[in-house]
This record gives sequence, structure tokens and C-alpha cells, in this order.
Amino acid sequence: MGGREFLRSELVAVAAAVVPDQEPVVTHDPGPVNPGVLFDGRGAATVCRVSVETGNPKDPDPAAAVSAAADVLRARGWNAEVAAPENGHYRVVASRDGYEVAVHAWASDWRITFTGETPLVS
Amino acid sequence: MDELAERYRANLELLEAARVRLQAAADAGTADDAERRRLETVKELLTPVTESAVDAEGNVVAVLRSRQFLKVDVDGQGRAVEVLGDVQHAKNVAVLVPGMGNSLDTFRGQSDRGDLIRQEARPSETAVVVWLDYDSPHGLVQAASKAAALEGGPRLAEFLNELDGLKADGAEVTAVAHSYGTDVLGQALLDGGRAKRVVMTGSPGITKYVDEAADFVQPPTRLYVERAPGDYVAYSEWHGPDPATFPDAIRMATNDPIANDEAVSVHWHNEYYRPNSEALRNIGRVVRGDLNSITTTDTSRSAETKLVLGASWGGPLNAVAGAASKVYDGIASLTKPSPASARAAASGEAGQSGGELGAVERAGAAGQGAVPGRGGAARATGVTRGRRGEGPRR
Repeated sequence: MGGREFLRSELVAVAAAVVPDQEPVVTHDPGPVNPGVLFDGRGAATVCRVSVETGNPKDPDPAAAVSAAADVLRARGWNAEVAAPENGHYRVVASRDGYEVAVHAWASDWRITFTGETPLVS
Repeated sequence: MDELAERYRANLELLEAARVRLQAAADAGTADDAERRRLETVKELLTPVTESAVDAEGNVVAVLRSRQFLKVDVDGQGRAVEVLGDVQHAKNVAVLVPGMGNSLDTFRGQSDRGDLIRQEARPSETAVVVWLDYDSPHGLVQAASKAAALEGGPRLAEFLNELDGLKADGAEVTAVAHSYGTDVLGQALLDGGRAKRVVMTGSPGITKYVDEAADFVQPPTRLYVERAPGDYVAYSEWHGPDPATFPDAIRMATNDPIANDEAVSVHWHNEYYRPNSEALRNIGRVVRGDLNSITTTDTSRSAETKLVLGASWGGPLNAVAGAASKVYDGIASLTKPSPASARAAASGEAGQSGGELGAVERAGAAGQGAVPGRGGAARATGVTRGRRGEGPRR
């Protein structure tokens, strides 16, 4: 399994575990991109970024959601840390073998977003 | 159909016409490599994107929708202006201006970084416009010239002002630019473009005579700047004084000085938009207007370079910045610093007090040109909480 596929499968699995009665939606998976494109677009496309969304629209609880996401990530072998909330922004920072994942939840939205990036491939 | 939807539709029709034309050339065997690549690009731009929504039963479902282009031009380098999100109803709108080496064929990456900013900025309330409506310089010789910025700046100014008519009343616009994009944005602001807030990362300078934000950013707009340890382009001051040195700019931290060993470090010129980095988080805080959560720094060029590589090279680099090849080829080939050294560089002179951004905001809005928080990286709460040997803590 390639890095892109691994990342996508991990994000979908974590999202499904955090909100078991909903089906996660892959909202961003464009394929390889140049992470330095804003400096120089001529660089190689060396990373893939994937986003997955889920949530509990009827009863959103962003603090509980990121806490659960961190637990699931740790159980799957990720280093995961819940960041201090910032004015309604709840976040998990997770990493594993060069993969970087952010879990975002917001007091003003039912969505929980899992977005990650693969390591650089030379 | 409203005017904006009609504009989106018209640009998709342009793309579809280009697809038909390029496909015909490919099928006939007359398309060259550039045309075949452009065909693939156009096909990708025509591919719908997926969003999540809620159906009548309360289930989360996938919804396909077309991409939203305010402008496309498939000829030459190609241009595109894409809206990510709902620009008509968003409370916050960011306009992202990319730097050199870009074209329609690199738009996937530009759009991806735009989406990354949106993820940091409460996406349900934020739209990001990826603005590639200038001929981005290709190569160092072109990038050494201000010509592309002088040509594109007025068009960006026009767009920023046009945006007032597209967005919701009261929605706040943040212009975000990196590297050569800061030249274009700076020119746009000099040409009358307006935004509520301005973010510049890794800037080679605006122009020779611009050495403070007040020279090109009109109050109450504030300038937020990032310069990462080892950013040789910013050190070069190739096009003018480094905005990170402007006395009335708010210098945001790019690294979290108190994070654990897993923290995402940002160094050199190319890593500001890394997921989970403090540099990207601060950009998101500005876009969503969460200004009290911004972390700041005031590390010096010499301190950053000494901590990154063990010897100060920022000054000598600045002295030879006229030679573009030295700036890019020489320094870029040096060994990367460790995450620890990057964080150390970000924390700066240990033990200094934290910043008071709230005060800076008030003073700046009043045109007093206050200096942003002193010391290493600090949470801009106005509360100083020192941390021995590592700079202030949050």
C-alpha cells in the first residue's frame, strides 16, 4: 500500500471509529502535490494530502470528538496530542513515521475534519 | 442563477471548450508535450470536488459539486482564480497569492495549500480565493525582476476591491502571500488594493523605499509577517527591506518553542505551509480573526542563522544578495537544521518577556506604529509568562 492509500485508510478508519454511526466522506485527495508550490511551482510533487470529514450533526460535541480521535489515533500507533482549545477551535496533532495529521473540530460546526499529509518522497 | 453562479458556469464552459480542443489535438497526434500536459490539467480542473453535507435523515453524505472559478485562462502559462468555499456567505475570506514558477499546470498544489489554510480558519465560515492571475516568473532571472509584480499588482488590487462586491457585508478579507507573491501583493496595496489584514511570509522585500508597514498598508489594516529561521530569501532583501524588520508589522512565530519533540519545525524558505506547523496555525488565526491566539517572535537574523547552522551567515548573505545564484544555489544546498535547532532559533533570546498584541493592535490602528511583542515566541495574550531557558510559554 502506498503512502497516499495508507493515509487515506487511516483517516477513514479513525473517523469511522470516532463517529461509528456515520460514513466518513473523503473530501480532499487530489494526488501528489509540490509542498513548496507557493515558493516555486517548478518543484516536484512529493507529498499527498488527504482530508476526511464526519460528524454528529444532531448532537455535535467538538471537545469530546477530538479527545476520542486522539485515543483512536494512539491505539493505531500514532503519537497524538490534544491541543489547548482556542476560542471554539479544538484540535489534535498527530504524527507517525513522517505522516502528519491534524484533527479539527469547531464549536460552530458539526463537522470533524481529519487532514493529513504523507512524508516527502524524493 | 445569480451573477456569481453564472460566472462560475461560464468559466467551466471555457475549460470544457479547451478540453475539447486539446483532446482533438491529442487524438490527431498533433499535440505537443505542453498541450498534452495542459489537457490533463484542464481535465482535472473540470473534475467535481466532494463535500460533506447532511441529508434529511441526519446522515452525513458526500455531495459532488463543480469547482468554482472566477477566472481561467488556458493559454500560455495559464491563469486561474478559484474560490474554495462559499465566498458570498463566509465571514472570513482569504486571498492567497503564490510565488514564482507557477502556472495553470501547478494549480493543484496552489489550490491544495489554499485548502490547507481554510482548514485552519474555521472552514464553515471561511472562503479562500487562490489567485493566480499574473504571469509568475519562471526562473531566477525573471524572479530578480519586479516586472511580474508591477504587471500583476494592479490586477490584484482591482480584484481585492472587486471582492467587496462578491463577499457578504462585514466579511473580513485577509490577503496572504508567500515569497514573490509578496511582491505582487505589496504592489497591489501600493496600487490601492485593500484588505482587512495582510499576511506576508518569506518576503524578499516590497521595494527599496518601503521599510515600514505604513508605507504601503493603510490603517486600520495590519501587516502580519513571518520569517522562519534560515529563510535565505528573506535575509537577502533582494527587492527591498525585509518586512519582518518593519517596526509596525506584527511578526508571527513560525515555530512553537515549547512544543515537544514531535513538533513540526519550520525553517528555510519553503516550509511555512506545513500541516500542524506554528507558521500555518498563525496564518489560520489571522484569517479567522482570532488575533489574541497569535504567537509572536522578534528573533534577529544573526541569532536565527547562528542557531540554525552554528555560525552567523545572515549578514554576509544580505551583503551579497545582489547575486541571485549565490542566494539560492549556495545556501539552499546547505544541510537542513534539526527540529531542535529550529525551535531553539525560534525561541530566540531566552527569558525575555512576551508580547502584548492587543496593545499593538490598538496602537497600530491609531497610527502610532507600535513595536510588536519583544522576546522570543509568545502567545499574544498580553500576559507575560516566562519560561527559563526556552523563552515564554503560552
